[in-house]
Amino acid sequence: MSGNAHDIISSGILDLYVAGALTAEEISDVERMIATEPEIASEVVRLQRTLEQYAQLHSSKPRPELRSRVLTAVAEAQRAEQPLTHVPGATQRDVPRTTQRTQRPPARRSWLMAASIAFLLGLMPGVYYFMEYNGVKSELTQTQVELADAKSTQSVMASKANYMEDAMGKLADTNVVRVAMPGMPIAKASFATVWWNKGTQEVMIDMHKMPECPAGHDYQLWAIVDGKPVDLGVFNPERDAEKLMKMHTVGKPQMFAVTLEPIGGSPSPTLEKMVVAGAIRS
Amino acid sequence: MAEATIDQTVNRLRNGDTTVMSDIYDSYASTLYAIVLKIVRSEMLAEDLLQETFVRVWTQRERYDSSKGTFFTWMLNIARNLSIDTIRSSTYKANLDNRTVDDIVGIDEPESSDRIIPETVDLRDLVKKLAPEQRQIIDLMYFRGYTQSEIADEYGIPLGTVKSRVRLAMQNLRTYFDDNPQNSKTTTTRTHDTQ
Repeated sequence: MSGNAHDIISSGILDLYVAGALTAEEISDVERMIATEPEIASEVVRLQRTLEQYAQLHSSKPRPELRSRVLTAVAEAQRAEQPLTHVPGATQRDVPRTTQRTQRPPARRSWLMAASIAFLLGLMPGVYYFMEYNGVKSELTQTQVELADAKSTQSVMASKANYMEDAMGKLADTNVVRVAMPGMPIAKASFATVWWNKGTQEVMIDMHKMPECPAGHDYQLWAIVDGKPVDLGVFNPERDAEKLMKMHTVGKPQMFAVTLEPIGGSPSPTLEKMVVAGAIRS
Repeated sequence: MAEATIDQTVNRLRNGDTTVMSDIYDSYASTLYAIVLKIVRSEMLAEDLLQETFVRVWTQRERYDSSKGTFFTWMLNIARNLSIDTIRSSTYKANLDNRTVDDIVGIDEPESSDRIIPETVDLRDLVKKLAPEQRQIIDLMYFRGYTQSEIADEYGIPLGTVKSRVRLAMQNLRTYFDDNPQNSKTTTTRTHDTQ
């Protein structure tokens, strides 16, 4: 063992490192040492094992029902990423299946909506992979044909398409931060995602997984800036045609939250009615 | 899990084998759940966080770097960070409501770090070997995400003492596990429920 490595080990910094008590800067120092000094690397592994053994003395059996709930959620995540990877078994059918849940179809207009939303959902994680995916590509071509058709007959649909194209452009920006907002205990089934652009400060909300509001209510999106709630506008999945909607801009949010409020929103959030929330991970 | 089994599991995960998650759940859920519960102290919240942890183990599988630490430590970090974020976001809720954080999450109760979850009989034996202040410091850092200076500030302990306590605690833990290998579950293979 080199003298240097020995000094570092006895300084106790590695103990702090494995316990997670160092600052980001100190962590990168230690990680550099791990990369260059094998003695340090193996000491870190030993210390991690020790804490791991300590952690494993803690054991508390979750309710047996949780197992299938967790595995179902994992399976959903696995299905969701299929269009992204070139899994041979993945078929076009995967895409409309997602949309069927969110659409109640009266006739052809809604098919077009479904196709546009499918298009949009697929694009969110990355334009490149999506375009590579041939099956969906042909769907896209179809969508564009339909879109052209709709444009001549329905200017409403055309503006919707523009909105979505615009939305897609926004999501592709590398400045965009995704903030998942899982359901709070009072609204476990709810889930919303905020896309916040660090550069332009634009905020978009994805409300696909939000249930309908009770009668007389809207959802209201809040950003928490320096501990204070800032109103970013109301939305209502039943009323709003765009399930991915642009909200007010905000500068330095630490967190986003959605509350249920009387139609039109409230000047300050009703905390007991907070349905989803999520913090920005730095 | 035995080490070879862990390697196999990690390989299956990396290769995108969707069936691996139930094995991971069966091997690690009880431990991760206990730790999440220790941090958030609400079973309902702990269940949600455990679910999110497993979803992330899958979606972030490509980020696991075995050169930076063991698989369990990686998963524990995901669970721990999610839990700490949740507690910290409660801080925001508290601010909104003009209540203090302590009212809601009791983040400052030092005794909570020593609270033993009923099932963890194994811990009682260890507690005899590890001074309470050593255990508290490890729990604050490892499970609750405190930095050394946060502990020094909040508990009025000089920074040097924090460091030496951690070092001592780690040495005691290591000695304890060397003497009590039967208490280590890292080398035992568990039987899995079949689906």
